[in-house]
Parts: sequence; C-alpha cells; structure tokens
Amino acid sequence: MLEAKKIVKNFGALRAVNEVSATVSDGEVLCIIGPSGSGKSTFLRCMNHLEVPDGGTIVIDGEEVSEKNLTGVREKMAMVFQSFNLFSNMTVLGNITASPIHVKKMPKAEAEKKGMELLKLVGLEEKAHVKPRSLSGGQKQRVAIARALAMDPEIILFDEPTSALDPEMVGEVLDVMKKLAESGMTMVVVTHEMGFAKEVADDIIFMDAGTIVEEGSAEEIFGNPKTERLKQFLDKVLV
Amino acid sequence: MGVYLKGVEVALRGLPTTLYVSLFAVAGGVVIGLLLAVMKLGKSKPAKIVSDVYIEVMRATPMLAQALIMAYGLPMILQSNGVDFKWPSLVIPAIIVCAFNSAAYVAEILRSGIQAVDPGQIEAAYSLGMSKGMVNKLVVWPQALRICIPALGNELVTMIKETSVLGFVGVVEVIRSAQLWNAQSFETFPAYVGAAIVYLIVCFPLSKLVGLLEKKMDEDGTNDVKNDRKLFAKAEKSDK
Repeated sequence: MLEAKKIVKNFGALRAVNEVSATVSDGEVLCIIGPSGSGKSTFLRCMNHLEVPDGGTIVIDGEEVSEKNLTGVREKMAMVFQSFNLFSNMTVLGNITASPIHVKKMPKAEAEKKGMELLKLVGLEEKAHVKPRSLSGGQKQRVAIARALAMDPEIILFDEPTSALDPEMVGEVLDVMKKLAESGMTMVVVTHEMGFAKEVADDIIFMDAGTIVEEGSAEEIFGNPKTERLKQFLDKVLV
Repeated sequence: MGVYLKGVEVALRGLPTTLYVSLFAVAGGVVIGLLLAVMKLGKSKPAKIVSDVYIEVMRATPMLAQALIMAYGLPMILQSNGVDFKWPSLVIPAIIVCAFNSAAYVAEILRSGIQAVDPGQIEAAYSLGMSKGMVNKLVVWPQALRICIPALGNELVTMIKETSVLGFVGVVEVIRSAQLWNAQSFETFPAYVGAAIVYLIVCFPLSKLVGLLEKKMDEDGTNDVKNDRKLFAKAEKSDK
C-alpha cells in the first residue's frame, strides 16, 4: 500500500504540486489524468523521490520514504517513463538483468532466465540480444515494462507511457499494461489515454493547476463529472 | 630532390621521440583528466575550484612556457634551495608537461561526454534502486567514454603537432632533428619542409582514422549516438 500525504513540490516560484494526497491499495490501479502542466507527472515522480518533495510524506508499507531508505524503497517501486529510458549501452536482456544482478545480487544465470520469461510475457523474446536502438517505440516501452517487472516490484509507476509513441503502437503497450492490471499488479498511471483509464482504473484522480480537482471511480469521473473544470477537460479529450 | 629526401630522413629520426612523448602524454592526460573531470562535476566546492583553476591556467598559458618552467625553471629553483636536482633526461619533463597540459583538454572532453549521457537513463537507473556508484559504473562511464573516443583521438593528433615546441626546450624530436641538420648543412628549406612532411604523413591518416571511427559510431548508434553527439557539442559550447 502506498500513501502520499499532502505532497508539495515547488519549481522556483511555481508550486507544481500543492498538498496532493492519494492512497493506492495493493492490487489497485490508480490513474492520474489532467491537462499538461497540471502537476500530475511531478506528483508521480515525487512518489519515488525522483523529485524530492518540498513538503508532505510518502509512505510505502508503513515505511516513510527518506534519503536513507531510498534505494530500498525504489526496489519496491519500479517506474516506466514516457521516453523509455532504456540503457543504450546494454542489450535488451542486459537492460532487464542489470538491476537484479547488481542491486538484488541475483546470480547472472537466474537473472537471465527470469529476463527471458519477462520478455516472453511482453512478446519480445527474439529481441533479447539486440541493442534497444533497433527497436520500435512500442517495443522499447514493452522492454521498459519488462525491466520494471524484473525487480519484482510491489508497485509500478507509469509516467505517460504511451505519449511518445506513434498511434499504431499505443495499443501493444496498453495491452501489456492491461494484462498486468488483470494479474493484480498495483499500478499508478499518469496518462492521456482516457479509454485505458475508463477500462482499467479502480480509481481516477483529475488534477489541474497542482491540485486534485476531482477523484472517483471511472463511472463517477466519466459518467457523472461534478466540477465544471473536469467537464471542460473531458469535452476536449473525449471526441 | 635528394636533399629533400635527406630532409625527410633526418626529421624521421626524431619521430620515435615525438610519438612516444605524445602517446605517454595523452595516456597520462586521460588519467589526470579523468580526475579533474570528476572533481569538476562532483559536489565538493573546493575540488571544483581546484579543477577549474588548473584547467584555465593550463589552457591560457603556452605549452612552451610550461615546458621551459618544468625543464629548466624547476631544477634551478630546487638547486638554489639546496636540493641537488637534475633531470636525468629532458624527455622526462617533456612527457610530464605534455601530460599535465593534455589533462586540461582531456578533462573538458570527458566532462562534456559525461554531461552528454541521457539524463533519462540515469533517472531510470536510480528508479531501479541502483546506488550512485552503480549508475556511474553501469550507465554513465561506458556511454561517456564511447562518446569521447573520437575527441580523444583528435587530442592525440593535436598533441603530436604540439610536441614540436619541445624542440625549443632541447628535446630531440622531429623539429629539433631538422634544426640540428640545418645548423650544419644550411639546407634550411629542405630541413623544415622535411619536418612538415613527417608530421603530415603521421597526422593526416590518423585524423582520417578518427573521422572513420566517428562515422562508424554514428552508424552503430544511428539516432542515439547522433543525439548524444549533439548534446556533446552543446555541452562543449556551453563551457566556452
């Protein structure tokens, strides 16, 4: 279980995230939606301290995240990025096994066996020994998801995982994410894919100008938006 | 014609010295430069200042002055303070000076290379629970060195030409060989043209090789490395 309590993040004079709180229970999928610049990615990045919050606390399994336990906490909280961020000096399999081998001290053979299983899960076994640059965007993101899974995380944070993809590649990545959600993985997903949010999310947060404007189930958010701001937003994104 | 061949032949006698001074200098420069780059990018303010001052001083003074200080100034000041010191061979202070000089340039090359590594990949590494040491060892250094290889090759070419000033300190390298022959034969034109030809036949293929290396890496990396190199150029510019 992950709890974010009154998270504040400033960039200079700009308050990007203003006392935002959220709770994600085990096995739950939380989607964060909202216009660009609403602070949703920053809020997500505060969860694993890629952005160190200026106020508030993050608690995972009852343990408060601090500089001291950061590497341990990050093992439990993997992340998938908008721009994939695969290590370009390693093969696909190398990307997946690097952290299990070096952080978890897993024997290499075991890590590779597990890596191959994960590649099979995302449908890319045949790409194990190529460098990431020869992959398409959708394939890169599927490898990034396999890399995140290799750490056996309790929760995966997705930061706009499909925003940098060509439209025809969005589906293959969303399919993998849906499979994960069905398997009971705890996920926090910042996304512009309303169809995905509608179908998969247990809970949806709508953010604007650094605060939560509305929160609720998919039916509540899409079926019965209460605030004017959310109505405006949905009118624009749901064509 | 014969006199020109003789000029080339005389200059060639100095080539081994030129080459090994240059190679040792760049090798030493990489080691010291690495240290300087790490100091410059690290958190410690005093270390950063030391590194900055060193780099600026080395780059803003001619290597000839540095070489004269090291080869003659240093023994002089030691002797006048009662230390009996003499360089066993002038090649030693020559290599030291070239290495120290090269380090300042190499440090800047390495710094740009480190800064050209995609910050997103570094974040991803941290997000997977890696420590700073692991991130550097597994992600930053391997990529930075690859980005830097062509620039380090160019540094070697530059150093081969730069060592010509050592002739004026008394090291018998290519230029000094030509000078000595000129002094006894008065074949001034063939002597110095011969020296220039020797530099040309070494440096031209070497810089072509560096160009090929650069191109090969671009092809290997397609967009990734092209992008890295763009960032690298930007990082280098930002320094100037």
